[in-house]
Amino acid sequence: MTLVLSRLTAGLFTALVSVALSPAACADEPADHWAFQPPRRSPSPAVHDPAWPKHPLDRFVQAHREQRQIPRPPAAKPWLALRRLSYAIRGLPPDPDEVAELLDGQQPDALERIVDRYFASPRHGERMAAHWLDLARYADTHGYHADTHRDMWRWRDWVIDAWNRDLPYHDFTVEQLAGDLLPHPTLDQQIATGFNRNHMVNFENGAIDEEYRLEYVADRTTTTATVWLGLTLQCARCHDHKHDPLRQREFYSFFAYFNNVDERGLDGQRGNAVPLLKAPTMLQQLRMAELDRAIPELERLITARLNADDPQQIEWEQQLVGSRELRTPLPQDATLQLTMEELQGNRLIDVQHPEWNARVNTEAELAPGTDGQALVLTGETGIQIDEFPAWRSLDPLTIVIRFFPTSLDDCQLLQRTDSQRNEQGIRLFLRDRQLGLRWVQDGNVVTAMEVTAEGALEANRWYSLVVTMDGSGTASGVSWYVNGERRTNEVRRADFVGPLVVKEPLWIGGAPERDGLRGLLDDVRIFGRQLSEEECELFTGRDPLRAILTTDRERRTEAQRRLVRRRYLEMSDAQFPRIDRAWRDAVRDRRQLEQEAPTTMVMRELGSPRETRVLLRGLFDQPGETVQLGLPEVLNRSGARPASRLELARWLGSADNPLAGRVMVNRLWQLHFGRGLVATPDDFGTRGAPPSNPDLLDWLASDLFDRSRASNGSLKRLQRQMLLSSTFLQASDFAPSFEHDPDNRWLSRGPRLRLAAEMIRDQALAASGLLVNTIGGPSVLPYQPPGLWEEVAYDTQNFTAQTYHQSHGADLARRSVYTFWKRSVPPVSLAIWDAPDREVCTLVRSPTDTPLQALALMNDPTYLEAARYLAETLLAQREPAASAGPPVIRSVRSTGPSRHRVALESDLAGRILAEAFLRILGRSPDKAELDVLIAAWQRHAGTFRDRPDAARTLLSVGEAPRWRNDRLEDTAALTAVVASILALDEAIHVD
Amino acid sequence: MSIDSPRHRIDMLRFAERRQFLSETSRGLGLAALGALLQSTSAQAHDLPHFRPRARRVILLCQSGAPSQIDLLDAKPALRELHGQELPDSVRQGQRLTTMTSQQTSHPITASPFAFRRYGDAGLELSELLPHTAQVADDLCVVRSLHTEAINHDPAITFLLTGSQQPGRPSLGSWLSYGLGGENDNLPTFLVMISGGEAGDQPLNGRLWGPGFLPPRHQGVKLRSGTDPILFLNDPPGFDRATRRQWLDDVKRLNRLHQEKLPTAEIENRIDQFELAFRMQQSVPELTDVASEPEHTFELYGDDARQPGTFAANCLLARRMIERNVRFVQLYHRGWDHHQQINSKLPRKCRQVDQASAGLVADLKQRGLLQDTMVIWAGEFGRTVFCQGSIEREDYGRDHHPRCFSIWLAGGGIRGGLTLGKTDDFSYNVVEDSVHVHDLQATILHCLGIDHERFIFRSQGRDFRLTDIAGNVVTKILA
Repeated sequence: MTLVLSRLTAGLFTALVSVALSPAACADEPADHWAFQPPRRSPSPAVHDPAWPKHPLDRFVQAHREQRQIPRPPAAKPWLALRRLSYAIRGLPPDPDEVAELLDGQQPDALERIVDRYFASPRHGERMAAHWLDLARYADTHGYHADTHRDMWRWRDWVIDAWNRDLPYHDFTVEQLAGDLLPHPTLDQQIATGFNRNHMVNFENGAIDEEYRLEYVADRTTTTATVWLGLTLQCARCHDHKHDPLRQREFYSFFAYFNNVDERGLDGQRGNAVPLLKAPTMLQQLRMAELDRAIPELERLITARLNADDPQQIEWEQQLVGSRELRTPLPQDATLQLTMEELQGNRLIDVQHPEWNARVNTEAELAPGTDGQALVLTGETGIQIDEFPAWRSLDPLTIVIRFFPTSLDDCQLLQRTDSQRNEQGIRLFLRDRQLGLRWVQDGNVVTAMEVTAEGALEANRWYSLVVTMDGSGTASGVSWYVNGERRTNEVRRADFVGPLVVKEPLWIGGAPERDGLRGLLDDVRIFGRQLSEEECELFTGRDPLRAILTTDRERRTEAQRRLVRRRYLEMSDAQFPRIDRAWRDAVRDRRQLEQEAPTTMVMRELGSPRETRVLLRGLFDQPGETVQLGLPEVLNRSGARPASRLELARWLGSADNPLAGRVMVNRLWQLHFGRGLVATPDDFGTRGAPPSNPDLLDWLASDLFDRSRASNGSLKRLQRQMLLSSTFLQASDFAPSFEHDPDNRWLSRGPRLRLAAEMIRDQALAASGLLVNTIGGPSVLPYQPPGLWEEVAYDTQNFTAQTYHQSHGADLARRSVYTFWKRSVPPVSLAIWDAPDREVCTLVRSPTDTPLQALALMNDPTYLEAARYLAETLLAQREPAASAGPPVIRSVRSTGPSRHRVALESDLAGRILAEAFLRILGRSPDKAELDVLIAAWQRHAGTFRDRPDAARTLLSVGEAPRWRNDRLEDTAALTAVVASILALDEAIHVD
Repeated sequence: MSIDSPRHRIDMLRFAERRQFLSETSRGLGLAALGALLQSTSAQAHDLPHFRPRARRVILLCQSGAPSQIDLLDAKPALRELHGQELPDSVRQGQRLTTMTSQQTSHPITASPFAFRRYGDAGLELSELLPHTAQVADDLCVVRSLHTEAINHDPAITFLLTGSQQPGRPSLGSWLSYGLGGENDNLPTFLVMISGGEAGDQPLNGRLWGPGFLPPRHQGVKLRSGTDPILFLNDPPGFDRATRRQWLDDVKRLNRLHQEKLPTAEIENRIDQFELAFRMQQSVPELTDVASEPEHTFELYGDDARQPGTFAANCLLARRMIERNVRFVQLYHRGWDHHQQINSKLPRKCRQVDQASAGLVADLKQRGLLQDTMVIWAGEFGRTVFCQGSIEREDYGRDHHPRCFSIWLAGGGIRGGLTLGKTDDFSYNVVEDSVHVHDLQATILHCLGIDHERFIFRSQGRDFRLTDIAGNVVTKILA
């Protein structure tokens, strides 16, 4: 067998066979397997050609190559090196200025300086996070069944930040796996533990809780083992591992570390699943702290005034009692006050606010009411006010309506809703003879709050209804007064999230497609505040103040004393209303911040530990023997006995774990070189591929943890070593290398890699100038063909993330790492480019080459819009105002083909095209390429000249603003040409 | 997949090891094994088919939500006598119920109100709700003894389509795409269509046609009703074929200029994909444009087939795909989850699928395509003999039932006019010729010439099969 094999010289095959035959793959006793031994730091080997290595790691590579007599490759062209580095570190194309800076040749260390800038840029964290999210199976939905939304973006932003601040690998590990168990964990350290809450969560009706809870624990177990150990623990879930020395009970001992979370098997029906944490953003935290200082301060001021005594008050009181007009006036600060006394045509006049255009939608008829006239309501009659100030669910609000129902059929009293969006808004109604109020919020989340007032109404009598809302947006914040009597709230639904701003037209009585009240409608008043209980009472004709003032001062209750005092202050102390207002606003803002603050799912331990038992055949209802926390024996040479998840995390992220450094080094190597030193990054076990360069792997792994070398777990330093090495910066097109090392196993050329999905989209955004560099925040929903979510949706009314509400404005041009990831329908613009669905941990994306990708490059509005925007920008920037137009092209066309080549190269058209080329590909086109581009522009311009409508359609792609110019067909033609540059093979690769 | 891609290389390494292992265990086979290995850079990294296939293409008519076997395919007329009586514990044997009916104090036997009759030469017993299906009875093989492991929709449909209740595995169509590749250069190998889908219908999930750990290009391509049947298929209005052709030629020229500088030919593949995309811009609208279909086609499939997006329209498209040699066509029809009002909802659902399903079988047959095309009509599990809700009220339904359910198969090496398997008197437990979901999957693979036990992909250090560690070919239903 060996003889037969050794005769085969096909390069690929040699590589494969040597793997298969290497002692590591066959002869190993499992326990002696290389990966389970601590890494050895060998001295860098001697090499024949000392000029080549720039970094110690290069010597390991070179030694291998010299051994095999593979020729030394040249260095990559500087612009290619720059593009490679820019994508490796930032995931974005190099800026034209950087290309210029490098090619300028003024500074010998220009490349290093640019690389340092790249690492310091926040774009680095975004690029690295995009990769880490695959491992962490991060998504914005729960994944099972209805696949509703969750909020884990605070965790995602933690990851970005961790890479940006270069959190040492040990801390990076400990905080994600056990940040909650650190002494006095910070908010960020708790957020970090979302790593192991990113697994899918189920709430399908009828499912069994424990079955799914155990599934989550198993997911954490295998994901942690895969990411931090490079081992396939899942093989031992149902039985002892067939190949590696892992027994089933060892799986469950490891499982036990993750089995103690205070969670539920069925959860997540409405947003995040427990345990979760309120996790305000940094800005929100700052604002909260500010308000938390201001509110007590304002309260002190108010209390001091309320408690003070003031002889003038007695005088005021006596005056008031003495006066005949003791009757407290009705509050005068209504935003709307329709008394039904003034009718012009079908328009009702609000004497206080004549600006409101309150139109009655049918023929308006007045009849005698309780106090003057009332409006006759037929059931169809409705008063419509289009331009009415917005209501916010977080602002207090009071609605006062006096009405006389002649029928108690279900009907509307008042509403501001959006029928296009699941009736989002507010509605006051009569149902089953009860008064009710409902707030609805649509969006990814359809939530609602609905309360009814206890007690049934009767027909044919006058009602004075006051409903107040305190601005909490909660059911308990609603108060009802019917004819001055407080009515109890009956809560029907209470999952309203808010905050919501309602801007729809205000309808009183009937509304389109809604039956309105039948009977008479007298005064309607709306206040942008919460009326006090006494004020509410005033609307029934009773006057609480009068009762108090006629009571002896000494016999008043504290509440009564305060009421009078407050009334006095409002009238006499110019500052009091301002302070009071400031306090109300501050309280409202604080509440709003509290409501707006996102939650995030975290790890949190149960009070008393849960028993872990082996599950026979992995089945949840087949528990076997009880197991204790513990590491698999084979990893445990150091005798470590982590007694908690925290200790486990500390061990996993430390040099004591023989795999810690190797797995991480290999992962980053794989990321940047396209192939790991261990070619099976998911399997460092006995069945995985042995390292192609074990000394190099171990050298880097030891170096990562080497405190004396200032590395100390710095992943930026580790990557900097890799990326500035001669090995990384070799030319990727070195022909002899393909012959000697077809698979590039011996690193005899630089990597040529397909860009990751995120990079392909981000490249178009960045090169065109559309990219919006905001860091973090909730995930965004860029362009996607309509209907993709809806066709698999469960129930758009009651579940979130069933309907795709595309983002607008800046959110269309955010980096792809912020794209909303729905597991059952992964974002199309990324899935086409091999992004996974994130249901489970994914280590490597397999690049493919499909016609669907070609179609996306041809017609996805993302690329057409980017092309259009770049075309318009270039024309706007490069056009000398006088000679507008691709005058170049026109003149060329008129002067005939013989001259045009010469004319164009030196020309504006050529410069415009070269700039587009440079922005996308990071290099200038050569002459042959420029010829193709110029000819294409000319040809397309000719086509569009004949069909201006087609030009207009092409230029209307996307929502980004237009840079208008008066040369429609030339702009459209340039758009088509730029689109073709974006579609080049070179554009979606780094060479 | 590019030859130079890391995934490919990993696959190759693994493949080499596997080969190595095989060779060493059967010394002397060395050269043969090497021969196979050297060929393995083609689309199929395995020696498929393992044996002569009976079918070359598959249509799966997936009835999402789980149709009631007891009302459609598994006749139990004797239950009329027992209607309203409590289901004996001896039948249930304490088996798992969903939490939707496990709290119910009464589990009364609920006979089907629908009549069954025998049809065709073979006397296949079918419900009155399937009058058109009855017309092709002699082509159908009804399996009454299928059973599954999951009791809820998400795990059960995932199990049916991927062989595992938990997400992460490749779907059946992806396995076939990976194993057998395609036979039409202008269309994807694995196409998916969805119909139904009213509020509250059980959701679907991309993983049901997802590639799992297989290379992503084996993912099912979803064909959508409407003007853009494949994502981004349409050029912007006014960007006509000639302009697109020129545009593609420019891209090709530039790609070729770049390729001249590279020592590999990988850009050629990218160029090919653009050409395929260009051809698909023509072939897909041709495929989905049924205007040229004669009147009798619509008589066969039903009037619904004129309405894009219906199950009937999708059945017609499925036939057009099979004519064009698409390997695997998967239709999902949603809305069979009848927990309530089953007696009114079920007839409506049947009307949506009966004529078109039967029409598809008849149409394939008359075109000579049925013999090597396998058609499967199946949900993810069955429904209970007892009712959910009160039997006193008309709005009762039936709960999930994994212990037995019925499906039918036709064509592609399947024996027509056969009923396989028997359930107990209550359509509760299988008593004869039990067929597990993995057995069904093994049988489908078998008909396509694949030995399910040898059809393996290694991911994260483990060898995976569609049928996990189980599955026996159901030889009794083979023609």
